Amino acid sequence: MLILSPVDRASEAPELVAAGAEELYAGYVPPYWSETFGPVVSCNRRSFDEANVGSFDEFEALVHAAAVRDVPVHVALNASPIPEGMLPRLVETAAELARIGVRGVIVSDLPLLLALRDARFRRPALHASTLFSAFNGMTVAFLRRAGAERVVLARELSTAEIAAMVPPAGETRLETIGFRGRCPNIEGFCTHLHDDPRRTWPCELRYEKEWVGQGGAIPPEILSAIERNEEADRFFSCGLCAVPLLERTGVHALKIVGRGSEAARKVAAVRAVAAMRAYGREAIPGPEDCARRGKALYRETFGRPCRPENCYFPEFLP
Amino acid sequence: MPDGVGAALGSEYCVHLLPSAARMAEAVREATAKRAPLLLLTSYFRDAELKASLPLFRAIPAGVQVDVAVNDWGALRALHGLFPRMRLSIGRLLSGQKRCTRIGASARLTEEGRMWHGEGIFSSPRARAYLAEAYGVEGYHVDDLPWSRPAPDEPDREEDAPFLFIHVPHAIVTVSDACPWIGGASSASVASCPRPCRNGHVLLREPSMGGDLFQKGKARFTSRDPGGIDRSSSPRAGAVVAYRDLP
Repeated sequence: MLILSPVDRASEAPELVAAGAEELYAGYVPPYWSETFGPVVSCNRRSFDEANVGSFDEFEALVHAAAVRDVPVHVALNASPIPEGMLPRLVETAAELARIGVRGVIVSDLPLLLALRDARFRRPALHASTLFSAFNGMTVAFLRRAGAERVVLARELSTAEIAAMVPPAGETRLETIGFRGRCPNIEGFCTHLHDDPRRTWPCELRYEKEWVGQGGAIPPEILSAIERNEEADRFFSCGLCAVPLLERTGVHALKIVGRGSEAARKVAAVRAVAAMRAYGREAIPGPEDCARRGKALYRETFGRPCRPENCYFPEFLP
Repeated sequence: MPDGVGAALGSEYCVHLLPSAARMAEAVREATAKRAPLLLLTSYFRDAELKASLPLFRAIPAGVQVDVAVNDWGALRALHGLFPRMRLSIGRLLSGQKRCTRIGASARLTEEGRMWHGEGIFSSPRARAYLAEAYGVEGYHVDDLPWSRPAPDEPDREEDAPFLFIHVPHAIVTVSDACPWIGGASSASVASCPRPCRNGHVLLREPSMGGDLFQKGKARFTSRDPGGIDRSSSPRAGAVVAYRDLP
């Protein structure tokens, strides 16, 4: 199982690779896109500058920096929907990126996936984003027929559900998201606008709440569950406990979330996942040992104990 | 079910809110007797849930006028493969429209950017052709949003526009896999659910959101134009799916 790390600058590549990253992915917004849609609507769902490689030349430098370390770079063009008029231009952008050595394009829009599948150039591999909400094997088959060679699974699946999906996927590579960036909502079904320049998203706000229904107040267990969700923090979300078991399932790659975060955070995330994977390879641990080791490693990484609301794989909770 | 009016049943966001096979068969019989259209809304599925739901789909006899809205690409593939004559449409969770209340209020969006949020997979001739040819898709479910494209009964609608089911007045803003009504656990963690979410909902208010949200079960909604539920459908180009309560 490969470790797939976010990267935002060519200068970050050496340290990320040294920490254990074996694949990198980055965002890029072509000038024609931002001229049309302004600063909020990005072609890769990250609207702030820090989350995107600043120019095509910078992207080429990033690909070169990774290639000399034998690490492929993928590009996220995972906005949805892509307006019809933008499809040929994004296909051309993908072709230009392929010419400089980009190896994969992460897509969440069916028309763009089909357009890239049918494009006549030596195209990069097509990765179906987690926004396709692949909760089952038939969705993997649907995406394969539409051109995807790799499918990023829904974040909400358990290790057992993922394990059951790997064999029927055949040659289609499966990828799972397992560190940082966990959202309380199913990403592919969420239509919130992420426009706050301070990056406080609608799913992270604390809402005033009022009950409408039988009885006079919100039932305590419902209130408590909603409030727990509001305490989730995407910067501290984690799936370390699951790493050894995910590797044994045959998942192709584990993606770390965090485009736009500081380089030190990205490096720390890669180190933590690499350490957990190494533990799994050396000790062949069972689930309980994984849970113990994962929680200890979390504390080392973040300086605090893990919390249920930030957990990707609740089956490892006590 | 009054004469001349169709009915919808099922759920777009929770497998536990789908009808039983027996209830589905009963609804089909009633709709057929009244010659009324029937719409089954379906959710996303894990592998085991999709398998367990097959009796529900088998309860729809081949050739009857039942529309099935799918909100899972795998379900689309499975249903078209197993029931080639089933009338399939792409549900709201897959439509691609963005419904966050902030979209109407954001000062950072350009007008082009705001309108982008009303587009969706139904806007793409390439996707429509592919889904029709490969999976027999016959329509698309959308919300009537201030930033959405022309509605079926509006004069500037294109001639070759897709068949749209327009849902009013409650638009789905977001869906989680964890349900507050079962203590915040994943809906997949319970084999069956007594549906406590049918007893009420929670209004959520935050000044920066530009409008209220309503949480019911795993979904958060926004509501608009309550008078719109009396809009008549346009048989030429679409239908209206009207809700008296939050679905």
